[in-house]
Amino acid sequence: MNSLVEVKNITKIYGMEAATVKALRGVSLNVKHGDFIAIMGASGSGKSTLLNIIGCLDRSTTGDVLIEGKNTNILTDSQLAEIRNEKMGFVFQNFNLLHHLNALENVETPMIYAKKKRNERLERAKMLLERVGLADRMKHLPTQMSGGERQRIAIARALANSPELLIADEPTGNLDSKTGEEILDFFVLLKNEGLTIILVTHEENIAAYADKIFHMKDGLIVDEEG
Amino acid sequence: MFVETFKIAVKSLIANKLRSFLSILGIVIGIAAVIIVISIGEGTSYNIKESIRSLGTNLILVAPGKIGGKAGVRYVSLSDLFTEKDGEKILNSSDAIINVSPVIQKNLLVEYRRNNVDSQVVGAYANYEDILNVKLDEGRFLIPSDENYKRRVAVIGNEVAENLFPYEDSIGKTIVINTAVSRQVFKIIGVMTPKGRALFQNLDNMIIVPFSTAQTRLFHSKYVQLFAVQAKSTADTKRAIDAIDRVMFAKYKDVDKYKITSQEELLSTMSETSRTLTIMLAGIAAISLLVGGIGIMNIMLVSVAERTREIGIRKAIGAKRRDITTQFLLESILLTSLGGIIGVLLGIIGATTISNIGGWKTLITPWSVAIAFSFSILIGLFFGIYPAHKAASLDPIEALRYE
Repeated sequence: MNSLVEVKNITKIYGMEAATVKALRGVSLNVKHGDFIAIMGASGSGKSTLLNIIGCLDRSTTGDVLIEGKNTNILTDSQLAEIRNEKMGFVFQNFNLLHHLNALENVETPMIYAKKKRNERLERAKMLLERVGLADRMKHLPTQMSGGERQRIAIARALANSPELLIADEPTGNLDSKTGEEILDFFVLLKNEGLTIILVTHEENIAAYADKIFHMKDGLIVDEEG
Repeated sequence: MFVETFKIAVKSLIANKLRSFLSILGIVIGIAAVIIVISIGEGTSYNIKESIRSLGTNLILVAPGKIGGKAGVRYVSLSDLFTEKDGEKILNSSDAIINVSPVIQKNLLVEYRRNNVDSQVVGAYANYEDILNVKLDEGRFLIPSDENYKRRVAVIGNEVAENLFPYEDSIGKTIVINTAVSRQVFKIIGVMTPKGRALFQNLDNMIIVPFSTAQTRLFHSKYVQLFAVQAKSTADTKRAIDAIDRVMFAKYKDVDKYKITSQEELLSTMSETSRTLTIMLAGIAAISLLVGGIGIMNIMLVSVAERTREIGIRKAIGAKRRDITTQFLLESILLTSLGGIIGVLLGIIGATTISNIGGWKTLITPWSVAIAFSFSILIGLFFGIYPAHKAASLDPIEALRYE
């Protein structure tokens, strides 16, 4: 089976000349379709940088990232935006919802950028919100909702364009442990339906939900479990 | 896609109602000022045109010019030059000319019993009625036989009638016109309808008498001061002027000796002047639009900075640069065109108020509204480009991290 994501010896260096910070020092990684992997590490280990580069939000300084065999280095910003829109779904620690839009509109937004028709958008957004258990709260603003509910909107939004890859950066970081577990259980459910998931966390018990765990330290993958 | 972006823009403007309103105030005031200034200018220009028109229709004046002023020859304004014969020649020179009247005029003291007034006494033919487009309140105008018999009859302006006959009817009464050497008695046969002041002449303070009577009894002159010529139509004015010029040049052999002025010429000069003034004033008002535009740019930059995180989120879920640019450009255009609409309405209200209260004539032309409104859209576009570009260029990672 082909790899969904192939990371080949990438480095990421921030800053110029003397004041450089090496966030990644040569990381290689392979994510196959249907994998549920976790990347663990202390803060500053480079795990978020790696995730951003895999998520096409950022570019590596050297080395290649291949998404379904396509080298992202040779893609334009607008092609990267398309990949983010169609192939990726993001779930962030602080939810990153558009606070002046209601739940339904938030879930619709990625489909607007994908130029989907209004009816199709509404139908799918409603379906997704029902799936995450927010059927009765579609017209509510994120500010009127709890953290768990907000994260569920974010997951519905991430799934809007039926992505290949779900990227979750500390998705339970701002949630209590019970709500966090619910979210992770839902991830497992999605994984069982064939979705590929990359999860970044610094907590062992959360990483334990994944099939494979990569440990990072000082910009390098130092250990691999599972 | 455009509809969606438009909706997004509308939503974020509604989310910041007060700020949106404050930021368009500059545009509103600027557009209103432009509309008001132009409407006053157009009103004034309309008034000038009307007052020139009231002098008569398709009027051409032929006056003596000057000699000398060059090459050491003394400058002399000519008078005692034209004769009634010249008038006949002018009338016969072209079919574009339908009426010619010689004119001789002077300010003289006029009396009726104990009342007296200084008014402009004009000697002219009976056809002066058509040439000057005279309307009468009472009585009749001069007729050709008045001219032929050198009758001592007079048609007086409304102001003259009010001054000399404050409490009684003037028709049939005799007035005394004082010249330097004699007192001449005239019978009043008509009173003209008020016309108001047209340019340098007060038509209501005129007394019109037969030309022949004026020549012999009042001015003791056998010459003509000027000719009032009426062209057949506005379109014929040019042809009429050419014909007059040929007649006059044939006789006087010197273009400086006579001067031909047409009402159309005067009209175009005056309206050009007033238009230049209007455009200048509107330009000054437009500077406030520029200031308003800078205000818009400022508020859009603030908005971009405040919404850095939103931009980051949108980029993360797949917005391209173009999507972000369009969103912010639409927002600023929406803002300024909203300001434009409010400004136009306010301008129309303002102009109407000015003409109702201040008594100034204002005229709102469709072109001024169209220009003002499209200008407001242009301002939104122009001053929105930089903030929109700035928003679209944000790095998604940096933008997402922004607190």
